[in-house]
Amino acid sequence: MKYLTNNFFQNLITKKEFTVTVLIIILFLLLIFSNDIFLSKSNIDSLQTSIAPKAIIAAGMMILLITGVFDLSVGSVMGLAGVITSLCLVKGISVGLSIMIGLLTGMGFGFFNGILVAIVGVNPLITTIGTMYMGRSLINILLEGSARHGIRGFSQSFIAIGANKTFGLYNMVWIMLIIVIVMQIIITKTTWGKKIYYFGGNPEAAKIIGINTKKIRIITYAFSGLLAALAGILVTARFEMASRVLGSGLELNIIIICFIGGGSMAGGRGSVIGALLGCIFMSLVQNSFTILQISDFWQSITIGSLLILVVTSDAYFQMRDTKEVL
Amino acid sequence: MLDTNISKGKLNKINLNDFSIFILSIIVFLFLAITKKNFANFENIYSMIYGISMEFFCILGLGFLLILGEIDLSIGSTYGFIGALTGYCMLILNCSIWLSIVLALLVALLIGLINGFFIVKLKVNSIVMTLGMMILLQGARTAFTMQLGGATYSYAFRSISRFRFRTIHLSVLLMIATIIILELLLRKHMLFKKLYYIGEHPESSTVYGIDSDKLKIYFYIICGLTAGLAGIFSASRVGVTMPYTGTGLEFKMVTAAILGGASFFGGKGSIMNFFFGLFFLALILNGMVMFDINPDWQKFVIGAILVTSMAIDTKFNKKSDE
Repeated sequence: MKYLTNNFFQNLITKKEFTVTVLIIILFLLLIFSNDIFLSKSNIDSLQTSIAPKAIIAAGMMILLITGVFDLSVGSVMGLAGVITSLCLVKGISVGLSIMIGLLTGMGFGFFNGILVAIVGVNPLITTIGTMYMGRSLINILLEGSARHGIRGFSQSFIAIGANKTFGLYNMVWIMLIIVIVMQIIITKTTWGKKIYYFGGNPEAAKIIGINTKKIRIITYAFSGLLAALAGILVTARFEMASRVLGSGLELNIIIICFIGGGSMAGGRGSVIGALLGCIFMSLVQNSFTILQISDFWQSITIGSLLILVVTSDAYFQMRDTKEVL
Repeated sequence: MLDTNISKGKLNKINLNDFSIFILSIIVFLFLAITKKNFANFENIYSMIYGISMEFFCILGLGFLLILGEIDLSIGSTYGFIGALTGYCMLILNCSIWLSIVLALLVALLIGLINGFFIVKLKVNSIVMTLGMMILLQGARTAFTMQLGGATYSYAFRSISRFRFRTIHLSVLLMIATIIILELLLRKHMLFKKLYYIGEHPESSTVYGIDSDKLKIYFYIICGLTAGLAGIFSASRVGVTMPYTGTGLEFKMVTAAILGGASFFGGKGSIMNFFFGLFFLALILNGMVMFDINPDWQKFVIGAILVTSMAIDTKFNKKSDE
């Protein structure tokens, strides 16, 4: 690839993660010095609750992207887990057990996706779009009657999980950091992690040398579902209500985040740290939209164009690598 | 030379696969007719067909792309956005109806062109590119519908979709005419044989001298145009464009197309079967309404149908070395 030099700095600069970090720093400085709102307590709080759940989901999505697939159902799983946990809580089930049930739902959903993609062999796009709609309508079906506008009235111990802070940062931020760091270490240092990269880079070769591709697919999809469920439960706890729109449209956001953070449709690229960086970048961009009061129209134009720009440059560099002439 | 499944489809060699969606539709139709009194009358069936005739052009555009082995996920947002744009031109810019329609269709053409260019020439992945376009257009659609503020369109515009010839609506007539013409062409004309070939054997098509790049861009343009056309028809029928108009359309269209035999791997599908794919879905949804099933289950059912039909598609059509 590009690692023909041993020069640390040359290698560092060519990495996507480096570009994103620079962009983040620039954006950060711009935001600090252009207005008073950015560093206010409420803004920092809302940044945290915006970054943490997305980063948790993006970590799972990044692993899937490294293996060459993706999961468009994460938004629905997020909402579904929130709703199921809430329903358990209002029925009087203990906090711990309710959370377990919510997480298991997410994992089961992911498992279902994994089996469809790995064993039946259905295209991941269609599978996860299908399960996305199935999940979303399940949410609507569950939230009926008096629960039509959301479920509230959770116990303090549940709310505390999402709303409490440790050492000044929300609990969910710490959870996110632990997940990201652990996953990054697994990806880069363990054998299993290297298998994932190899699988993504060349699926046929991976099968030939005996990597159990089906098992990896199922595990990574189940894990993505689990993380999405975790994020959904954390957000439900923080905002003290379960709503039917939780996670709606989120999957596209997450994919953009992962692409910015170095993931690629081709597979074999990206890192969990990159996912976190992409997340921080997107949240800062969206924060600046809010602070500068930019209309919905320009927000969508920017985000859509950003996605197109990122994938076009990704495709261009890939073409250059393989020496295809435009 | 151009030896594909379709070109081998002589009329006397009946391929059961081609008829399966037709048979399925008949089964569901009979089931509903027997179990529900209100089903099998002219109004109900005709209103289903009328509804389909709007979406039919959309599925044509998408269907051809699927035959070519490509996809366009932005059709739903194009549908909504172009409808809103037409409304904007008519109500806010005070253009005449026909000028607004022409302008809106030109924009739809442009959308298709951008999609096609990025995907074919810049080699961007079709899923991601059209996804990005979808997001962009969603924002544009919201912006324009906000400007319109839910205002209803003029009577003249709304009567376009209500225009009847004897008792049959204009769109239904167009749909029937298109089906007949295209079905005949598909079996004879070289162009359509090329499409199937490009879908089934993308690499060797260039060897045989087929300019697949140019064809793909043309059909991306056509897809944008048909989505826009469907959006305009729908705007005329409903009378107003909402910020969420067209959401989920691509999902429904892909399901109907795959039901209609289009393979995700390219090279399959026929016009009649696309129609029956839409018809089958409409039957199911109509049936669910008749049986008083909670409307929230509708999306679930479409999702389940999509996943199931994709599973079947993969089992039969995936090339063994993939």
